[in-house]
Amino acid sequence: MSGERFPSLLTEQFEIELDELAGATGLSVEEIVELVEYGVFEPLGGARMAWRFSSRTITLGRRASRLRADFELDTPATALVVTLLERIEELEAEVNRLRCEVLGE
Amino acid sequence: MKYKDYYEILGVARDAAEADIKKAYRKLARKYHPDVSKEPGAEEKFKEVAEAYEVLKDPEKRAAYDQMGFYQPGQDFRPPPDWGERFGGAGTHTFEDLGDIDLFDLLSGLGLGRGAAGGRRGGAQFHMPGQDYEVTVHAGLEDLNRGAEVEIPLSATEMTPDGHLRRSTRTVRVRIPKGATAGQRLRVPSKGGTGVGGGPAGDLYINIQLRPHDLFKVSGHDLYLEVPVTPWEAALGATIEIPTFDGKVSLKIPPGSRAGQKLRVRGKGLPRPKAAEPGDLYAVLQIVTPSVLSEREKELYRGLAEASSFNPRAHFE
Repeated sequence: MSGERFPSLLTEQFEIELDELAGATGLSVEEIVELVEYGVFEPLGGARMAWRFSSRTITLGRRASRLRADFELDTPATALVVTLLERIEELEAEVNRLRCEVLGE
Repeated sequence: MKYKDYYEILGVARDAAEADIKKAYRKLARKYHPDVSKEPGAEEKFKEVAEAYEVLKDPEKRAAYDQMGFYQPGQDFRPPPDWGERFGGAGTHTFEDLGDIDLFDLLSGLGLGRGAAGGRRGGAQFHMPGQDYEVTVHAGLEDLNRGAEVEIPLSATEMTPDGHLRRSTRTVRVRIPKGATAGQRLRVPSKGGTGVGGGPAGDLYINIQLRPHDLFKVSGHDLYLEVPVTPWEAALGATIEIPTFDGKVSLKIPPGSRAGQKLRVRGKGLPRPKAAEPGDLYAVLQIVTPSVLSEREKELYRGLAEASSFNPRAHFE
């Protein structure tokens, strides 16, 4: 029964294939290829047929898919927004880490 | 069925042109989209806005919505008797069932209802995968440390295999695996919406958020603990006890420690997935002085002041 498949954390440690990424994000293979070209997704493995992605890419891809649909963006604009949001999240994580070190917060 | 005023949600007139509806939607999406907004309650607000736009941008759905009549937001209503024939698509819905159906689900089901009905007439099967659900779960630090089971109530309108809409409410129990931390996503296969016509079920995505903890702050898999020490413990060094999730451990404060100094306690942070080395615990020293001093304490401090040549502000001179 499919319901017995286990929950999985979408982190760097787990890898998925192109088809699974497309299925989980609602992005077409062509769009994924474009987002790879724009540097939003970083596949592991050289040839397209052998591409594998960290399962965290699902989170990125679902966000890309949402933003593209909700703001009616084209792929280059989607790539730009997703990249900037990623950058903001990295900075927020860094601010959080620095806050952890500051006393009395 | 409860009425929603989609025009009011977008802040447009009932006779607004398509271009104005689009403009109003874009403005509100910019403000409330959960991926870009920090406004409290943005997610709920955006859902309403997106729903309103989804209906009003589509001339067919907008006409069907307008034909239902206008009511007060939240008011219980029933569409006019001929509405089902005109818009319901091959009599897919009986209005007796509509009591707890969501207005938007009914409107977005229009096309699908017809597709399903057409499919049945043609003898062909109509397949559609179930919807993916996305929810936020607030977990405690203890839950992340041990791994925990959480109960997630899900409520959605789903389409039965014969094309009827039905409100389904269920609770999904999900185990948050050890190794998860704040801000991560968990995918639970096949726990989303039911598929139509034998289509696969959708997945459930869980956004893990952390409830603040009284003692520990969290950065990734590392924990930070503010550790108050006395001036003499900082100056002379000491061995003290600090709490961790594995019970108390000894911490050696080196002589001459400063306020804000970080002492690493290896492996006492949060567990990581796949039995990788756990995160670390950082003890951040805070030197505290008693706010009320006894005569004897004052005397000793005065003695220390006289005996010491230490000048922490030498670099000002």
